[in-house]
Amino acid sequence: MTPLRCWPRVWCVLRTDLRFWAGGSLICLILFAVAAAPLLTRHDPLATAPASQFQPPSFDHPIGTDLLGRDVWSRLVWGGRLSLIAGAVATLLAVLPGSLVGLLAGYLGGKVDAVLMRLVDMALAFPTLLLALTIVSTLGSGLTSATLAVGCAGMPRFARIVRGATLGVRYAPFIEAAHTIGCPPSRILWRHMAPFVADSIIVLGALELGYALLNIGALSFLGLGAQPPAPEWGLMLTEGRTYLSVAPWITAAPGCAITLTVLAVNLLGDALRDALGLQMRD
Amino acid sequence: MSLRITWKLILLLAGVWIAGFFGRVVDVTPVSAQPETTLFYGLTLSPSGIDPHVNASAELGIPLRSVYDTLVYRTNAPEEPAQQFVPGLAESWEISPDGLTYVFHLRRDVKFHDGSPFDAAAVKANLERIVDPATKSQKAVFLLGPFQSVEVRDTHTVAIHLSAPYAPLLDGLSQVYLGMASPQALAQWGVDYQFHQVGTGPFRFEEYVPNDHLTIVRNEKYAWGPRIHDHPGPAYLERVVFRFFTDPAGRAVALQAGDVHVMGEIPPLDAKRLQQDPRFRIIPVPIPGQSLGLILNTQRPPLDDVRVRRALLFATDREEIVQAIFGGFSPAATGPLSSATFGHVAMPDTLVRFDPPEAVRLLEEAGYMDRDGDGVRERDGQPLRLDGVLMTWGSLPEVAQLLQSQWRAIGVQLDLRTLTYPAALEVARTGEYHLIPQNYSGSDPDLLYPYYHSSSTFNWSRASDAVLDELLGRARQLSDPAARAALYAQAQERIMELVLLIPIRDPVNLNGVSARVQGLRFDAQGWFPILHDVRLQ
Repeated sequence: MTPLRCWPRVWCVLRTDLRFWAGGSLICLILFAVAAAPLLTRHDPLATAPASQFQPPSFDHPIGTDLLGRDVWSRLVWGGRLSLIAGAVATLLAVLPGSLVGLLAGYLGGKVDAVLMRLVDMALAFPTLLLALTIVSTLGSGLTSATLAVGCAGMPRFARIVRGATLGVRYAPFIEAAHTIGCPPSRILWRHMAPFVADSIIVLGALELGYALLNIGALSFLGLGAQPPAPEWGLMLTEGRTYLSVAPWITAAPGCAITLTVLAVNLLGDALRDALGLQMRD
Repeated sequence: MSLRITWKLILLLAGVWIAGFFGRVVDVTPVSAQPETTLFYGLTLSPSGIDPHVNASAELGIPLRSVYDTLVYRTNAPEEPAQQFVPGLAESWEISPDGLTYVFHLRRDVKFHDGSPFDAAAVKANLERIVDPATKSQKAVFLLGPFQSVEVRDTHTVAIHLSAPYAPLLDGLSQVYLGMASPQALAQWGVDYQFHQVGTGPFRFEEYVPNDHLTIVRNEKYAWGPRIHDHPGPAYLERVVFRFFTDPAGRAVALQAGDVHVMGEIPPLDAKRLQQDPRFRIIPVPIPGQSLGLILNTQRPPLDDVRVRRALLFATDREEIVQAIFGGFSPAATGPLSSATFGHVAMPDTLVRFDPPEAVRLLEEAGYMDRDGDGVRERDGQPLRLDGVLMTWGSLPEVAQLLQSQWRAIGVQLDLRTLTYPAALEVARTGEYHLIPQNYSGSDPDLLYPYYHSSSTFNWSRASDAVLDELLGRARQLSDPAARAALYAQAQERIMELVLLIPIRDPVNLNGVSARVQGLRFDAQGWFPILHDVRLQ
């Protein structure tokens, strides 16, 4: 095992992996649609027109209209921006502080490790979504607090895994050597240990993005995340649910979007994991 | 999540999707397997408690209206004369000229389901339980108004003493929340009484399993029904089983699948679809009480300016909302009371109409202009932004989003936040809102008092208007219905002059009913079925 991975070699493995191509192209397609939202849509996602409610898919409305006559396609791609940005921010919130806590606990050991890990254990005792629900109910509902909540709720898992990875190299000869030649601890952390745990962070981060998207969607579905009229995917699911028998496209569109995005991210994460030769604890 | 699990998930979803189709095609009717004398009835929310003296939900009254009798009954629309009080457990009553004492002469032939006799002592025990602070009554105690004491004059004569005249008392006494329970059972079960209820009504309480079902069975000895029943003697049905369907999306499906014979609160678009199906009927029942409306906080700028409030009212296209969201089943409301309420008057055009140009004029007169061209008006650099509190019931999120577009057209920005009921109550207490929804039902217009009188904690408009207070205070003391109605007409106009709320629609309960159900009617409260008269074919 070498601490720094050979990235061209990873690429050699990846490019023969069907999951990488499927997940990657799906992600690119979704990112393109979301980024090019103004070019791909002709209707304001918030403009209501009750007279044309529940229109089935047509040339003018590619996936029909909802109860208030809004264009579902416009809402879907504009809403993708909200959902994806919220998911990405929540992931970063989980990954960065979580990894830092894990690194510190693993490197410093002793009492610091014991205290930090007992706190992490306490947080891990709750299912992620339940923890996020608790945080949202303290912060008040809204997309920002839902994102914060999902980020915070994902943090302990990262701390735990990164600590494990750090412990794996804590007593490795090259770290001992760095100590011996008088490297300051901060340099050891950043230059010698962080690169070693980086690949597990990347892989887990990709999977975390999938969880974050689902959980933010779930919170919005429960009315605790994005607030109307925001075209957030989870909220769109809730809004369409009552009219499932009349206009299934309102629910199907955001449902498929969430499923495909999470699927793509997971495929990509799985491919990366195998390419990096990691054995994850699922 | 590993790839394997992902694929399993996809297979599972596909399976559920395909199963969904089978659910439609195969007409499973567990109802038909039951004897034809059992009615299945769908309730829409799981109440937290079902003791009528303690709890307040309308949902508890749907089954329990048939378990209890009340001293008096209130007649309803198809009956003649409508909105009158007729004898129930009381054969007759007298009201003292000062309006402070009500004397009831009770029937002598009434027995509780546990065999104990109904008499004046039972009435006394019931009323004293309700007003006992330890009972923590959420509704019943308020229906008694300025109750002072209850006096047993002889075994079958009872007098209720009030500290002030209170015209809505008979209306309160006609409601299930003041239903007469067996004192023996009350004493025996204490706080567990809600699971062992004993009344005198046409059905006996058999079993209640929270979140699952509630069963009532026929009282074979019932012979003291009020005139509003279509026949004396026991009910036609042997048994009624109530089940809970909290998800609106599943209600029409459950009715079509044959899980229930009657289902309340069918979503309007499903109701339209069911109307096309000969196996079902839709019985729309207008609910008396408040109209569904958004209360405006008159203490919080910019809504402290009546011109701004009136501009919002004139910018609201209620017809558009009612058509789009309620499928045209509900009349658009013009005032604080729904049109099914005694004393309701429709507001004149001068007070309530859809008139965006006038709304714009009012905003400009109040000094709101859009100088920075962002589509939102401002005054002294303050944009015209409003904080709207929502709850998930009553299609409020949908209503509010249409309001958002309608008000945007005149340069007003409405921000929305959805809260749970307890959180909304807390916000209402602190006053940190511009708009908050309110919709309570009740058959007496005196319900305006708790929601608009300046002394009341539920006065969420936070208005304090001497004229309105005087009207509401005087109307509840008058006994002459015509004189009361005149005062309430003035009160409703005053409320709309001050624009204390944006009325949206009159609540209408859309009941989906199997064609096999005969004789289903609802009482004067709108919510409660008269199950005594129902038959299954």
